[in-house]
Amino acid sequence: MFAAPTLQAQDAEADFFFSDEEMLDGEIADPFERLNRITFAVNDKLYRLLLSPVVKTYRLIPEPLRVSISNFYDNLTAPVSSINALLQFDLPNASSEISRFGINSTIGILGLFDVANQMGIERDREDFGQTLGSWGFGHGFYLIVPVLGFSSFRDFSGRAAGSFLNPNNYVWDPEVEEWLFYQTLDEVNDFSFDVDTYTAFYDSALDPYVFFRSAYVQNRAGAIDQ
Amino acid sequence: MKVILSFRNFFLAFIVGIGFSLSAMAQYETPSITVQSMLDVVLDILRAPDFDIESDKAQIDMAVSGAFDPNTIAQSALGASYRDFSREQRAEFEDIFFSILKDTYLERLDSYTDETFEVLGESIEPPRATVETMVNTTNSQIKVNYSLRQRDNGWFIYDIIVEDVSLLSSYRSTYRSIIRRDGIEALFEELRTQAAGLE
Repeated sequence: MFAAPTLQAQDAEADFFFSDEEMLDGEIADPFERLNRITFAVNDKLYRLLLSPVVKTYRLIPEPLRVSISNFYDNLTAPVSSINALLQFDLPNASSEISRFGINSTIGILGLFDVANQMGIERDREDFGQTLGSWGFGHGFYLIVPVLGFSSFRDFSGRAAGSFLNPNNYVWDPEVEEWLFYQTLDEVNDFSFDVDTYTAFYDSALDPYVFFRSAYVQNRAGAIDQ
Repeated sequence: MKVILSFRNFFLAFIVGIGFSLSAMAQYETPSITVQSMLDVVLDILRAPDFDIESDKAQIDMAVSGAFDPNTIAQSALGASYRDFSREQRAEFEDIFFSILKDTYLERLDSYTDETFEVLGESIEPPRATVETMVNTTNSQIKVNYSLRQRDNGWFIYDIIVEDVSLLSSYRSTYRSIIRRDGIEALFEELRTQAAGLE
């Protein structure tokens, strides 16, 4: 007689493959879950009702132009990225980020073209959240920020510090509308490369709030490890 | 919100997975050979002028089912809770979850534009392996790793990790929180409803 594999045998296989420790990635303290869920729902509505229709029209702009806009924004984050690499004692990255800024701002015409990448100097963004993480600070707790989206106490503090220390802000002193336009264009342009992915994931997850929380934590952990 | 943008590569990665079972058995031999050959096969299909999602769906469905390892995917999606499932529940979960994944991702086949894929390397610790690949899009390079498991008849994918985000970990967090809050039966109720909605 052949017996079906016992549950114990299958358990051994499961234990072998997935240790409990490895099963716990993507976890984060979430004391404000109720509030976060509300903000998440509001952000989701904003995305579906406002951002998504705008993005769909915006996609009429030819892709090369949208890539250049994306390059332009990326380039402006390079100085802060370089500072952060320095704070993480990552000298090679600090110098490559600042070289990228120099090359792309000049030869790349104000950052519109990522010439540095073609020269083999690859982008490796660092922000203050990552710096704090590399110094050993944990997330603290999960935080969904209105409009801006997924964050944590640590990463949002880092973001605030980052904009305070961003040299761009001392060069450019925009009116509120100008600043809003600038930020919105960045978001819209980014999303224009991909319109429906967010909603597809949202729909495939039974609890999208938890799904994206886990994805956020994993993504940040990976960014800090590098 | 930018983290969402890299998620689209799950879809691309999933598309790439389809090539697996279209290729010959010998191509499952080592993890990186499998990935490399499947990249070739899949890109051929996607770049064919007569590629049509609707008419190719049944064939693609069959191919996907052969390429992945639904049992390991189910174990991974449930984590420690897998032990609390009866044999019947395990089988049902395996079926439902795998078909939800397929339905979700096959709908997205049209998201392929002109990305290129390269296999960078592999690390093997039997029965597990990771194959590292890079997806080059018009404005970025995205790191996509495949987790494979060795079975008697070759290597099969059980997870896709895009920019350090594991697809299975993300689902696992979701299921764990539902089980913790409402129990296993509640999870099944929700999954059955979801699967019915997709058909």
